[in-house]
Amino acid sequence: MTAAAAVWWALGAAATAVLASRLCGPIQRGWGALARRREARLRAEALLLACLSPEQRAQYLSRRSRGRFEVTTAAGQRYRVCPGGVVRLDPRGAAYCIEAASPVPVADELLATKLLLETDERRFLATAHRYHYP
Amino acid sequence: MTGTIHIADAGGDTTRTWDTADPATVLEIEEVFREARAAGRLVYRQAGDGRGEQVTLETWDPKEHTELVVAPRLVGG
Repeated sequence: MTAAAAVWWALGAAATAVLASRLCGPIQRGWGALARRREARLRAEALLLACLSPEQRAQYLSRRSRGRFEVTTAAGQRYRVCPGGVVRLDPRGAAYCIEAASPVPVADELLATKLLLETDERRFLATAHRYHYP
Repeated sequence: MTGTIHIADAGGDTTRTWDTADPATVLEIEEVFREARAAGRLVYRQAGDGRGEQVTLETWDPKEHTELVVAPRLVGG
């Protein structure tokens, strides 16, 4: 090996070492954030499942309507709660868009929507953005 | 009598517990109620039929309502 090649080899090795040390931190932080997000999602889903009625739990877990369940309000109106929205189950059909004001897992959002529908349908209707659902 | 309040937040479910034999823990939960109200969040308890029921600091009975959920504030999407 010539002296010049040895110098280039040493420079390359040094650059690789510096780059690896610089990338290591962000990659580790990224993995940590992903793990925390997954943990939060699991905890939120466990809370949701604990708060659903047996029928709603079965709907939520069924292969056919995975992640969705129905809520009947005190006035007898039926809604389907889905990630990202709510559908009123009557022939006229209407859909509502409602979301958490703060970043939370989807299951927490579904739980908040279920509880609001069950306890205060008027407030739900006043809060959610309604759009036509064919 | 002990109870648990579940706070639906970015962590998914942050829990705080209280024991009616320890008034300090009950005061902490009352503070959670105040913070929730200030943030526009609603607190619920699970009724017997699996339906939710809203609870406020005024209606909360630490001996009776032993499982509470603080829901995130909802807005129109």
